[in-house]
Amino acid sequence: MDIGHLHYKTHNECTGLVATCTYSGSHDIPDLMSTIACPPPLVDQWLEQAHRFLMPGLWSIMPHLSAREDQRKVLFSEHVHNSSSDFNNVDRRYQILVVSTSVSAQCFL
Amino acid sequence: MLSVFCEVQPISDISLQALALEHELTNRNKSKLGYFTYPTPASRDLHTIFSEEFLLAIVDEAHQARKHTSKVYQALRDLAFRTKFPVIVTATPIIQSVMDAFNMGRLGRHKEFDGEGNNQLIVDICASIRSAQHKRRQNQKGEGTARLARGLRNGLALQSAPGPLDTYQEALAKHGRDIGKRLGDCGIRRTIESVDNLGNPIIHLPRPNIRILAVPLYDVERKWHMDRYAVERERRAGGVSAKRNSVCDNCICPSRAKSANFVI
Repeated sequence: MDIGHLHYKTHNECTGLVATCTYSGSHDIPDLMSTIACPPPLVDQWLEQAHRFLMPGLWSIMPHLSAREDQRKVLFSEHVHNSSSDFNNVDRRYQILVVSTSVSAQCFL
Repeated sequence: MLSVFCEVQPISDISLQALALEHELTNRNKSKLGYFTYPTPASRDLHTIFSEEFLLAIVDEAHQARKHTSKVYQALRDLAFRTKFPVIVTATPIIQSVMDAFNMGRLGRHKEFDGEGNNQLIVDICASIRSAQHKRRQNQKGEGTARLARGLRNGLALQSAPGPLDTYQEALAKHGRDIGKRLGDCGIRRTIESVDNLGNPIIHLPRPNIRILAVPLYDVERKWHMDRYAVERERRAGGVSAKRNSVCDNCICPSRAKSANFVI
């Protein structure tokens, strides 16, 4: 869980450490992961850029490249929904799921 | 690069119903295109991204999903309903119709594009453009122009110097300007010339500087190239090189037959 979110829940006030933690008049930043939907050839580039520019250790990044049912089940049950996985590590405050648009279209219907 | 940032959006549980309603509204006059059937929430697979909720969704190359009948658009539109901050990013803001621009804004769920009132708005805009097109066709029919000649004239009018606009072009320009202004209000445009408050470039790419340099060859390289050149020249002149002849001694190929004839 996000440290700022945890602090807000226990003390009902903002940590004050992050200047941009207010939006829409509320301090309650939801503890949700983020996603990047890009064409399949650009998934590698997004991963590479994220590893190059983001602070290491704070982020966990996972590519979602296959729409096959067995592989999807492994990804979601063993990594995304598993609270003890490296993707859900407590030290890592932000989670990114890089999805290719073709996979999202195939999973949609 | 054009990015469309949006306000905080409530994650709705009825995204499927909203999508179905929107789809029905936009395709009311085109029933042939309405072949998408939205799944019920109960039939949803738990191991897809459509069972999750997201804080931020960045849609890269959003122009690929500008057609509202494409599957990619439908999926990304559903994804946008599940995120707090939908952001669309494109460096190729190509549009072929007013509806395309509207769809790109709708992927970002901005209030200028999202909602039932705006659904009705785009339906009215499409209807007015279609009626203007119909009116122009009727006018040209009244003049007695043949159908092929009409198409040619409309095509040539686009390529020639700008003249007075007809009703269809006026409608296109008016609604295109309206939608473009809406996109511009919620978008951020970044080019290589963009600077921040202090005057520093935001995009740290070097300017392209192409120079052609003459690189001298090493002696070994020059000898290798000259040898190949000599062999090629000999082959083109009609003779067969010694190397090729030796290779073809043990096989039956046209070059061996040719060399044999040459000997005889």
